[in-house]
Amino acid sequence: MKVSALSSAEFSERLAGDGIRLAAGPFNCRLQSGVPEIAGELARLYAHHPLIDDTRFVDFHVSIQPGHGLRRWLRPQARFIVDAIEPFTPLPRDQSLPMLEWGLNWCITAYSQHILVIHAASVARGNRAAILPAPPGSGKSTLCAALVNRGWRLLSDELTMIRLDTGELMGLARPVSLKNASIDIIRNYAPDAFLTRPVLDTTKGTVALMAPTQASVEAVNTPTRAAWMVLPRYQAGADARLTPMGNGAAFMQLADNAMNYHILGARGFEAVGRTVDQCRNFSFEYSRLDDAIAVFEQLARDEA
Amino acid sequence: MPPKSKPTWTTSSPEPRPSALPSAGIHYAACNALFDALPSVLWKSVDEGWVRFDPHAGETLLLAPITRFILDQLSTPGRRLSEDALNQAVLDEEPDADPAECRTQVRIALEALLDARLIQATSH
Repeated sequence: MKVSALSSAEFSERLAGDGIRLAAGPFNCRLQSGVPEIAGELARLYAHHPLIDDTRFVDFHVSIQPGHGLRRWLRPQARFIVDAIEPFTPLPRDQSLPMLEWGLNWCITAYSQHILVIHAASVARGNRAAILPAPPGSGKSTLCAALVNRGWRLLSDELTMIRLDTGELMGLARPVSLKNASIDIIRNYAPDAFLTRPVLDTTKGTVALMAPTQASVEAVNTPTRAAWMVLPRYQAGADARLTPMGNGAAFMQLADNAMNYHILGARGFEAVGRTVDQCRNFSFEYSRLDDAIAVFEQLARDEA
Repeated sequence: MPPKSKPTWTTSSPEPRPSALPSAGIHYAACNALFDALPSVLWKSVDEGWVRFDPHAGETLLLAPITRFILDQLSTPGRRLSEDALNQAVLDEEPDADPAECRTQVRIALEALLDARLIQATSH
């Protein structure tokens, strides 16, 4: 049974009560909220995710709750709670939904030491994936969102997870976080995609979340191996151009963007090494999304 | 959570920088910490040379082939070598190398290893 099978009243009731229990790739999450206004958009963001029954183990019990005391009414705040602790300072209440997503990212990063977690987007065609590690502002999420709306499967927009034993990628298919100008770009590029209302004045600027495609969620557990590591950089006016990158430089980029490479030690070293060896590695400059998509399509065709 | 140590790029640059290294009377030796780490250091061969990972220091370095060669020359306890001796070692290994280019590359490698605190310069 999927989240979309719940009526909006049922969804809101569960969210405010015992929580929505759903699977996002390898993780089972229980989402609760005492901030009812996020229910409608949250239901659409996770519409295609499977619900899990109450007997299943839950990895992360997360909750968004209103601020304490006067903060319920005076410049209202929202708090993120995981397993009864609050790892962050509260944020303005209208940032509740992004806060929930950021909080889930934090949970995965903080508690997943059995997999290599990379700060990177990843998308797949069939069982082959492209990893897109890049610093904020490089156009990573914009490119990821565009690819996902042109037939690529979303594994993750923010956290790429690599199994230490097999080297396979594990998908999450959670919402894509779009920032600032990329919100309107994707709204125009993919009018059918569901985007939440923009939330202004967050620490990352204006943020809107894009729902993953149904196909991405339904195929999230498909075994996928990394085939390309592409370091994207948006450059106004630039033609879309891939430049081959040595696997040493690729290693350093991947290690630099890994959240737990330093904790995993030799296992992290081996996982990064294996990944860059099995990938074709590139830096990628682009400005127009259609051109960028064409380059990725060519990559996929070249190795079909 | 411990602070994340960043991987470090220590490869030779394509355009050699003007060197600030003194040369007369200077010898180079491995830092003591290097010997402590040696048994657990992992190496990976890559297109550009080598990736060196020291799990104890949490440090990852990308080394050009000549940089690893210089490091290996110095990775014996008590060994101290001058720049000239290191140049000669490289030329012994690669007799066809241009001596002037070799000197430039050795100097760049020494700077990289000093920056990475794998070796130290001594004046006696």
